[in-house]
This record gives sequence, structure tokens and C-alpha cells, in this order.
Amino acid sequence: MGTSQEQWRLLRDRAQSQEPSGPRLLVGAGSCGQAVGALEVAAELRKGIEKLGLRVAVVESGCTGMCYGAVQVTLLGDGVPATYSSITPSNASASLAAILKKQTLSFSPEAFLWSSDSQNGLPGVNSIPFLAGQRRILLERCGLLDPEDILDAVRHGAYGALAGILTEGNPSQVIAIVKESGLVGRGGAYFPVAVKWEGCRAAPGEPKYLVVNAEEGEPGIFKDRHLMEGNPHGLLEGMLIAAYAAGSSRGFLFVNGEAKLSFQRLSRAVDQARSVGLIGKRILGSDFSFEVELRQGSGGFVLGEETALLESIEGRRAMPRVRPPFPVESGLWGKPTVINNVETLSNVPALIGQGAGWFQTLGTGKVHGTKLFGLSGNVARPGVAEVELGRTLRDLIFSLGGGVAGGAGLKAVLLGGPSGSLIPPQELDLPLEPGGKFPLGSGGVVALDDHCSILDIAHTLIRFNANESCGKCTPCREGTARMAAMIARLEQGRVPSTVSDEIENLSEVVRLASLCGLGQAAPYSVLSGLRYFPET
Amino acid sequence: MAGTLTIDDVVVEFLEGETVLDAVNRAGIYLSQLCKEPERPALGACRTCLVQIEGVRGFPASCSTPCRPGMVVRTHSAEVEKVRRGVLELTRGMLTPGDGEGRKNLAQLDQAIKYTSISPDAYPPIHRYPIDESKSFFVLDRNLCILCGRCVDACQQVQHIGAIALIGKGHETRVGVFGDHLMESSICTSCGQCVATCPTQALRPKREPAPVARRVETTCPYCGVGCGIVLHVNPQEQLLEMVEDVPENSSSRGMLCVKGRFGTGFVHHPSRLQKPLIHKGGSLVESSWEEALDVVAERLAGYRGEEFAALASAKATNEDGYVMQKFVRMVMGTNSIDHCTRLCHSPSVEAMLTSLGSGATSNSYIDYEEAGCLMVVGSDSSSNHPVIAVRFRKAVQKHGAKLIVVNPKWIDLCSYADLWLRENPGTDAALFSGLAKIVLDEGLEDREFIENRTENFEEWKASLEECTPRRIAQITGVPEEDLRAAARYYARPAHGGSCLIWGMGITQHINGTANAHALLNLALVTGQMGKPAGGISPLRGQNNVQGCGDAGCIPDSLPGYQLVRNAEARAKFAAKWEVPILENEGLRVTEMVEAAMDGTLKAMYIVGENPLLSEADLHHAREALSKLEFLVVQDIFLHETAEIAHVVLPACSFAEKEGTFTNSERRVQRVRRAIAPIGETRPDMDIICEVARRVLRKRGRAVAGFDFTGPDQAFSEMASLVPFLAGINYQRLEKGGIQWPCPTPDHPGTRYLYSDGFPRGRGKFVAVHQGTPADELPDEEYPLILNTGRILYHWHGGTLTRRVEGLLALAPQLEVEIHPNDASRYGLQSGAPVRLSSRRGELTGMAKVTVAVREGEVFVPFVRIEESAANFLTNSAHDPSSRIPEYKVCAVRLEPEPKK
Repeated sequence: MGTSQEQWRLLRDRAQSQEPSGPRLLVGAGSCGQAVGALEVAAELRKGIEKLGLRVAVVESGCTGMCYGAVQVTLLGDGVPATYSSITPSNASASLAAILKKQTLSFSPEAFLWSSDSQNGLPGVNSIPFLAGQRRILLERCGLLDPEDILDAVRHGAYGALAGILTEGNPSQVIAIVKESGLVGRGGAYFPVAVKWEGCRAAPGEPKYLVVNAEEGEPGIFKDRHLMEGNPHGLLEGMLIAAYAAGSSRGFLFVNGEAKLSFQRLSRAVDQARSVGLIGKRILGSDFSFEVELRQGSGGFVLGEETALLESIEGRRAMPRVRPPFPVESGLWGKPTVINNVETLSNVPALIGQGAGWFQTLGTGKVHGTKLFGLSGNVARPGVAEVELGRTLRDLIFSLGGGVAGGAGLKAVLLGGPSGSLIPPQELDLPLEPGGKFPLGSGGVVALDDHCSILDIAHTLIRFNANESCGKCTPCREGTARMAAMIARLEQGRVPSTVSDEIENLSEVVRLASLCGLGQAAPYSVLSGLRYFPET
Repeated sequence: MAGTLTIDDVVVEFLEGETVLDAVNRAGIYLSQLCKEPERPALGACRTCLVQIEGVRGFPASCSTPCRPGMVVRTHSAEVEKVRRGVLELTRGMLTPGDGEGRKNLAQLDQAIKYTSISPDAYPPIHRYPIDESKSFFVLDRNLCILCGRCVDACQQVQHIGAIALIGKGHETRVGVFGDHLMESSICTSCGQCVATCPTQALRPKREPAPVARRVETTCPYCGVGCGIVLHVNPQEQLLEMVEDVPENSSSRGMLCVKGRFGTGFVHHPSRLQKPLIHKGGSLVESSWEEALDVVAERLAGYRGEEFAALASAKATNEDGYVMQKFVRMVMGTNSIDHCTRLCHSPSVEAMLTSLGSGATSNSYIDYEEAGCLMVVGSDSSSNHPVIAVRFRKAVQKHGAKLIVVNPKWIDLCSYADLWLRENPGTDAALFSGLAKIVLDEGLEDREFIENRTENFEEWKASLEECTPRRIAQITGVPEEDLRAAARYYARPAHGGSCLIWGMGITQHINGTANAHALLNLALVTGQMGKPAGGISPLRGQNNVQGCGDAGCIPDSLPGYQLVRNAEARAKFAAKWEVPILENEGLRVTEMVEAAMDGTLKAMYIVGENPLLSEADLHHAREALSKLEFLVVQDIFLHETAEIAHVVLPACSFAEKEGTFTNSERRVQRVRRAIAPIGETRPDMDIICEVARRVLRKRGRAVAGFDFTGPDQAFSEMASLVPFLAGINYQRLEKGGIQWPCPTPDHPGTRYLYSDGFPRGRGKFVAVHQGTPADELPDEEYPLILNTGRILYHWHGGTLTRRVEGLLALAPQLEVEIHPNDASRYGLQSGAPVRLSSRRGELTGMAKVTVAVREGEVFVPFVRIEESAANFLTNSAHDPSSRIPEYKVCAVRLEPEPKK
């Protein structure tokens, strides 16, 4: 016990003593930030700083989630951080002076301080609608630390919860806390996390594996990427705690093949964690050892299905396995395996650090904690937002998202990606929670304005499912293709009125007979479209 | 019984581990199960076996739902039927009917459709695929494919080959091979496991399916693995091209290779011998049995003792072998009987008899699967023992075993190996002594085993003095660190034990016996013997080479390896056979050739062997055998040796007779008659008995000892004389093969040997000396080393496989493998004709440029194609103690051949 405490203290001291002096500019260089010129902005800032002869570091960080405000630049230094939106390569240099003095900037419509108070004309965070409505726990550090520096993460509190349990906890305590908190998985199935960990721990077989599902392959959702780019150490800490609790000694981070930046930053984070003794043998001097490998997916929506993902790690074509056996009993290479989603594990450090009681204050009476949502489509302020469970689509789209872009009317919301439902405006006030009327999926919210054709959307979604069907089971592979063909005929309008019934019948077959969640959920968008938008 | 559940209101019992589908099937309720191969875990792909289970949401697939006590299952509620019908309609919609062909019998899918009133035309066809006819035995017709995935599972998880896979995704998913090319471009070995499991005939034999009148379970006639096969006989009394595998067979577990699955066509080949032939006026002319038998008896009666010798057949049954050696010893008064083991494993047997006291493989195929380390030495198992190679691949892929391949040539197994030790040809004795030295230096030996189970350790240890890793690395060309790694893997496997497996690469050298001793020393010093998953296995070549030796077709032993030197053994047989048994050992094959050459051997009776293709230095062998005053050959084809015989007797093939074969894991298995004898052919045993009776009569001796009522009686007589077979009889064999030793009728048979001790008492370390690597090494005139071996598609010299059209199509030419550097020196490209010559002969073949062989070495399989065969070139120099010829190394010259 003594050694863990001692080693942790040494690491923390080292982090403190190496704290950079002087101001730093964090450029929001997540993948969406980079798409609109974040790296160029960073380069311009460095040039400007050099020209002025200043000693200011420019760091490429993750993003805050305010995609609509990218590129954002945040000043870290004395006092409260200040963030400036809408910085471009051409105005970056010109913005330097104002940013460094925390003054307002005419071409940065949204500039604010990360405090409740305003200063120098810069408003506080509460006056920014996109942020004011959020409860940022997982996102707390995103955009505000250097994702490629483990010591920066440690200074922000990372690995504190892990050190705590390694010093004076034990696995059953961890499981008990998670069980009490009621934490459920955030990948879409909302399965109790503690049940998996406990099952794996109890199952015979060594080694036990912990697999992080960072595949996030569906269109309209990008929150896991956001976490990996912005706060990779938060995920690693959650992973380590989970492994400790589940009795696992080997882990895999399975990252979507297109999420190159996530992969890069996680690789670096893993290397750094290994170099400071947070991954490897006898972590922080304790009896807990854990090795981590990264794997890059090579495409395919089905990889998000956990057993297909296991097949892929084992070197086979990604196709789901039959269950039972469940992965906690017989998963990777037939060994007990826990598979958790990125967001799920990112919940763990704060939960362990602050306790189940605290966690239960979040959310509704039924479900606890926060949830990340990706806002996109015809919404004024697209981005990644974290809210307590139980908030409504109206909150997300109107309060946070600023309503429909361009002033059009809202026709529908696609909740949960291509496996999700098309929700009519009259249902916007339903609370967003697992087990509700509409499945949340992994949290994709796509607003569709009244220029959209529901039939066209449904066709697009079912075509996506048909193309992404792994091909293993007949109802999904054949059924989705046949559904797509039927909807195409419906779109062309030259069909007997019975086609809708045929589609509905086939949808039922696909939903009930398919092997995995992909096929089972594939007809939802079509079914909800037919049900709520009968006129189309 | 594990419990009961209710299916459609009927209480059904289930066993531990059974699924709901198992219980449904047992209850006799029909449920379609298109993707379920009975012997394989559920794939869960076809979704046509859905049921309703009380308290369970939705409609679970019964194939992957375990039974639980008290479960209430409904298979035919309206709701579940509706869903199943929907799935079957989608499945039916996948078929694109062709132009009338192939649609006659969709097997399991048709049955499913018949039972479920679906609308057959719910969906129009989407795809039309060209039929892939590139493989010789079967086609892939994707228009009939329902993507159940069984073929892929068979290829990847049963055979561990991975030639076919599902490729593409969504409704573009299809069965295909790497690169989406034709199947012939792939690593497919034509084993047919996929064809056997296909439920729709999308993968089907090229020959039109025919009605099956009879199914007869028997044992494969090709290699020593001894796979179970079921021959299909049509109403015209002909074997169908494709055989069925036998999942219950413990040796093959439902696996087969291309020869086993598709290679029985030789049985009906028009060139089968159908009548006796007698050499008259310069040619062989047909005769009656009466005349031929009389000539044979008349002539043989004139020879006895050292004037006569016989070769028995390792392709024939145990009973044939037993009767043959009885004839030789009892009637002809000599011990000069031998068989092809002389040309394959005699050094192994010699060394094992010296060190252990028994010449058999110690362990079983299942031990290979469970081993933590497999060291495969001088054996291209994927070509020669394909189904054993599956076990190796499975050990590696499923259980993480370490695989060490020791071979100068790249072989298929190298792709699965952790280590490939590519030793210089002929340096194996040094290599294995070097490994043993490392084991001792690093303290990896098994002290307890050495102490309690072995002898001569210190003397042997002293002999290793100079086998330092550095020196051994120099001699063998294997890097020191690889030697060390191999020693560590082998001595300390992570799980189970280590299996040491070897083939002709060890034995067919002038140092053959020394090589085998070096292997045994390594197994002894590490204690990798006498336990499950750990032991020694010289892989036997012919289907019954084990049994032929067991039956006593060797010049120094009576049946059951009871030495002729041993007076007690002689007395036992003399009492049973009522004749004295000679004490002096007979001639070995290679000595027979020499004795024929010098005229002391005057007459021979050769059964089921073709020495004029299998001997080394064929020109020499032909000259010798041509000098015989009388040669009788008994076989199924008129091969090279039969052509020079005075009388040729036509024998039945394996499909036309009863008997037993004993495979490489000592498992005695039944051979059963599937069809009536072709033409006037007779079973070997019947012919030998008839000859014996006639010779006895001519000699005026009592005509007794050869009046068996059938093979079962011959087996009983042998079992009564051979303690390790004493508990085996035909009745017991009906329930499946039995592994000897099986001393009593209630003994279950023996999976591995030497758990308590060795037949000779303690295992003996034998110091070995690495002699000159080979008798003939390259020089200016003959600058290349020739290595010989076999290929998957031909059996040995090819007498059988050249007569199976589809096999010949897969390997129609004699390929001379040559390294790219040599090829460019000679200006050759793959496909170019070449002439290869040695001091003894020449052959022509087709160059195959490959890095599988080293620079300076060429490889030629010993199959004869047209007029060319490797053994025209090979050297008859032999190992002094076992007399095996050096097939593996000789010096040759290569010349590009002008295109014909």
C-alpha cells in the first residue's frame, strides 16, 4: 500500500514541478477543428508570437465540443481560461494581442471566460447557451488541456481515482460503487456496467481481457472521438479502473479506422502512461498489472457490434458471434472479456473519485449520470454536448443547438443514427433516457428541417444498413436489401397501396429474426417513418 | 441426462451441453437448420431454426440456445412460423435458377421449403454469377448459394486452411477466395470439406450426383493417417467419385484430404488387371486362374531358402500380410520377406528398437492437438499426411502451440511455424545433438526422467562435448539463436508436452539411423515421452505400413516384432504352424536387389509393391530383377515391375475385400467390401492361400494352415500369437478402431505408449556421430543437390493417382523446383522444360522457380509422370545399419531442354 501512495505522490510532484510557466494558447484541434483549419491557425499563432518576440506556447488540443465555433483558441495562464471562437488562419495573427489580454474581439462572436463572472467585456460561461445548458463532467477537460502530455492530465486530476483505489481500495469495492451508482453502458444497449465487470471477474479463465469499443462507426455520432481526442487519459484511467475491478490483465483499444487522430493521441497517451508506470507490470508499485494494445478497425459499421469487434481483433472477418456464450464468459480467444464503450469508461474516474451518491444526484430518478449527444443536421449550433439524462430533444435542439439553421421549420429528428428512429416534432418533450419511448442509441441527434423528404431519409438509412450488413445472417443481409428496393419503388410512386404493409411485414421479420443488434434495429427508421409520417 | 424440457407440449430429455435444436431433433420435430453442420458449433446465420421460448423475448435461434431444465419451447406457434416463413422466403429469393442444371436437388433447402408453405416467388433473383469450374473435382455455383457459411467454417475451422471466405458485404456478400479470383488461384487443396457440408449444392461434385444404392464404411487406402470413409455405391455397382467422411472416426474426426475424398476412381480404371497374365513368347498373355496358379506353384516349388524372397504390401490388409509371411516362412522356408518400410522408416524402427525396444509411434493424433510444442522434422505433412497436418495447424491456431519446422526446404507448415530450422542437407544428427547439448547446458533436461527411466546417460553426455552451439551452427547452417530457441520451446512447452514428429527427411540418408538416434536422445533427455501430448512419432507413409510390420512382414521378426533370433518366439510359432522356424534373418529389400544381381536370389513373389519405381537407382534395380529366374507379381495394375514378371496375378482393390488396416497411431480399423471384385480379380489373401496350398501339394507336404474361412479367422490367428493384438477381434472393431496394445478383450486400447516403462526396460541414450552429410555431393560435373519427396496430389510413384483424372489434372506435370538464382543462371523461367541427369539416369520435367528450395538445390517429387521419375537419378548408397537408400541427397546436372 505504501509504495502505491509513494509512487503516486512522486508522479504528482513531478507533474507540478514541470508545470509550464507563462501563458499557453490551446488551439482546438480535434478532427472537426482540423477540418476548418486548426493546424493552420496554430501555425499562424506561432508565427505571430515569434514576430512579437513573446514567450507563449501554442498547443494543439482537443475541442470543447462547440463545433459551430471552430476554430477555437483558449488562453491558459494566470486566472480563468478564456476561449475565442471562429478564429481563422487569416485572422489568427491579428487576434493575438486581444486574446493574450483577454479582451473582446470583433470577429470572434463567441468569446468567453470559463467562469460564472464576466470580465473585460468577456462574458462568463453561463451566457453561452450551448454551454450553459450542459453538465460537463466527461467533457470538463476537453479543450482545456494538452491531450499529448500526461503530466498536464495529472495536473488536472487524471489518475487520482485510480491511485486512490490502488492505495486503499479493492476490486469488490469498485464494483460495489459502480453497482450502487447504477452506471449503464453508453454504447447504445445501456447494460449495467457492474454486472459485466463482476461476471468477468467471477468467470474461470486467464487472462481476462478488457476491450474498449472505440469503433463509433455510425453517421451522426462523434462523441467518443471527441473524448479520445480531447482527454485520452480520462479514458485510460477509466479503462485501468475497469480492468482492476474485472480482474483483467490485458486490454485492447479498438479504434475506428477513420478516427486517425483518436488513434494517434491514444497511442501517445498509452506510451506515456507506460513510461510513468501507469500501464505495465505492477502499476504504481501495486499488485495490479495491465498491458494495453491498440487496434485500428478497417471499416465496417458492424465493428461496433461487440462480438464482431472481437472477431476482428482475432484476425477474422468482422461478423457477430452467437450468444451464449456471452463475452464475459467466453470472449476474446475464448477468455472472459469485458467490452465497454469509450464514453462508459470515461464516466468511471469521476464516479470512483466522487462516489455513487454524487453520481445518483445526476440524471432522473430512474437513470443516473450524464450523456453525450452529437448535434448535427439542420441545427444552428452543431456540436458535442453533455447533459444529464432525462433532458429533452427540445432542450438539445432549441436551447443548446439554437433551433433549426436558416430559420426553417423542424420536420423530424433522427435519434440514434441509422439504427434509430425518426421522431416527429410533437414528441420533442419526451425525456431522453434509456428505456424510453425511443431508443437513444449512442446519442446521435440529427435535426431535419422541413425541406427534407422522410421517404428519402428512410431510403438513405435503410440503404446504409443494407450496405453495412456484414452478410452473415439472412434476414439482415437479404431483408434490408429487399426493404431498400421496396422503398425505392415507393419513392417512385408507382406502387400498389399494399407495399407499405409488405414493408412493415418484412421489417418485422428483419427485426425479430436477425442475429445481432444491427439487423434487429435496422428497420426502426423505416418503421417510425411509416408510422409518424404517413403522408410521405 | 441433464434434465427435461417441454417442446410443443411433449417432455423431452436433454443431455449436458445440448442446445434446444438438439432436443428438437431428438424429439423428431422437423425444424429447418440450413447453417448447422451436425458436428460443428452453431453459426447462427440462416435464422431458420427460430423457436418461441416462454419467458424469453423474441424468437431465439434454437441452434445456439442451450437447454435449461423446465424450458417451455414452441416450434410451431403462428407467430414464430410467420417469422421463419419470412426468413425462408428471403433465403429462397437468393437462388438464381440456372439453365436447368444443378437445380434438381437442393438437398436441405428443398426440404425446408417443402415443410414450410412459403411463396416461392416472393422475391425476384438479384444476382447472376458465373459458375466457377476451375477446380477439377467440384464447382462453386453462387447462384445456388444461401451464404450459410458452412463451407467457410469447414475450410477455416475444420481444415484450418482458409482458402475460402465470405467476401464483400451487404447483399454483395459471396463465397470467394483471396482477390476474388477463380478458386484455382487460391490455396485450396481440394479437400472437399466444403462440398461435403454444403446444404444447397452450390458447391457440388462435377460428376452428376447419382443415386446411391449402398453406403459402406471403410478405411482410406492412401496414407498412414487412416481416415474413416464411407464409399457410395450406385445401382450399377460402381463407386461414386466423392466419398463421405466419418465424424465418429477417432483418427480422422470427419476430416479428409483430396485423395481420400476424391481419389478412389482408380478402382474402376479401365487398366485394372482383370485376368491373370503369363509371360509367353516375349509378352504377357491372359490366362485362366487355374493355369496361372499352376505355373506359379510349379515354379515356386522349385525354390526354397535363400533362393526365394518375397515382398509384402503395405497397401494390403493385416490379414494379407500375415498370410504372406506365413507362406514365406512356413512353405518357402526362409525369413526373406520385407516391405516398403525398408525404404521409409527402417532407420526409425532400428533406432527405436535399440533405444526403446519398440518401433511404433508412441502417441496419438489427439496428442498433437494438445501439445504445447510440435517439432516436425523432415516431413512435409501437409502433402503426405494432410489430415495430421490439420491437427498441427489446429494446435497452433486454436491452442497456441509452438511449431518448429526442421526442413531444408520451405514447406506449407512453415507459414504456421514459430521457428523454421533450415539445416544443410544431411546434417540432422549434428543438429539434434546440438539441441540436446543446449538443453543440458541450460539445465532444461528432465533429471527425474533421466534418473528413473534411462541408461547410458553419462557416456552419451560425454559424446556431446564438441557439439557446441557455435560449431553446430557452422555445420548445419542454422543460426545459434534459433538453435537455442528450439531447444527451449521443445524442452519446456507452455502447456501439455512436446511432440517430436518426423518423416523421410530424417531416414532416407546414409546417416538415417544416426539421425533417428539423435532425435530419440533429445526426446529422452527432455523427458518428452510417455505422457499425453508428448511423445515421438515417425509418421508412417502407407495406409498399412504399421500393420504390415506388425503382421511380421520383416526379415528379422515374426508377427508382433517377435525376433526370429529368439528361440522362445520361434518355438511358439513352430507349435502353432507345425513347422520349424528358421533362426537366421532374411534379406531386406535392398539386399534382395543385390542378391538378385549376383544370382543367389532366383525367385521372387511381389505383392502390391512396385520396386521398379520405388527403389533408388532404377536402372540398376531393373537389371537386377530382370535376372530372376522366376518373378510373380500380384497387384491391381500392370506397373513397371509387373511388366517384367513371369506371371501376374490380378488382385482386388481395397474396395473389393474385407480386412483391417493399422494406421500411424496404431489404430486397427476395418476395411469392408463395397463392391464385387472387378473382373476376375481375387482378394490377396485368397490368392496367397491358394498358391500356398498348391505349393504344399507339389512338395508333397500336408496341405494345412491356409484354409481360413475369411480374413476374420486370419486376424484371430495372428491375434492369438501377438500379445499386443490379443484383445482385438472383428466383433469389437464393428464399433470403431482400437489402438494397440490391447492385450485383453476388455482393454480399451492405448492412446500413448511408455507411461510406465519401455519394452526394453530403460530408454537407452546412444551416442551418434555426424558422418559425411551424404554419399554423393555436388561437383563440377553434377553441380546441384537433388532432394526428393512427395506432393499432395500424387500418391508415391503415382500408380494410383495418375489413374484418377481429377488428381492428375491438379498436378499434370513433373515439376523441378529450382531457386531463382539458379534459374537465372540457366536462363529458366517457370514452365520451361528441363532435363535433369545424375550418374545413374535422367528425367525431363518442367521448371518451377521458387524460393522454397535453396540455391544449389533442386527438388523433384518421386511420382512418375510419363517416362520421368526421380528414382532414375537417386543414389542407392545406403545407411549401413538399416539399409535404407539415400533418396534425399544426390548430385545432379540440369540442362534446359528445347521446347517440344
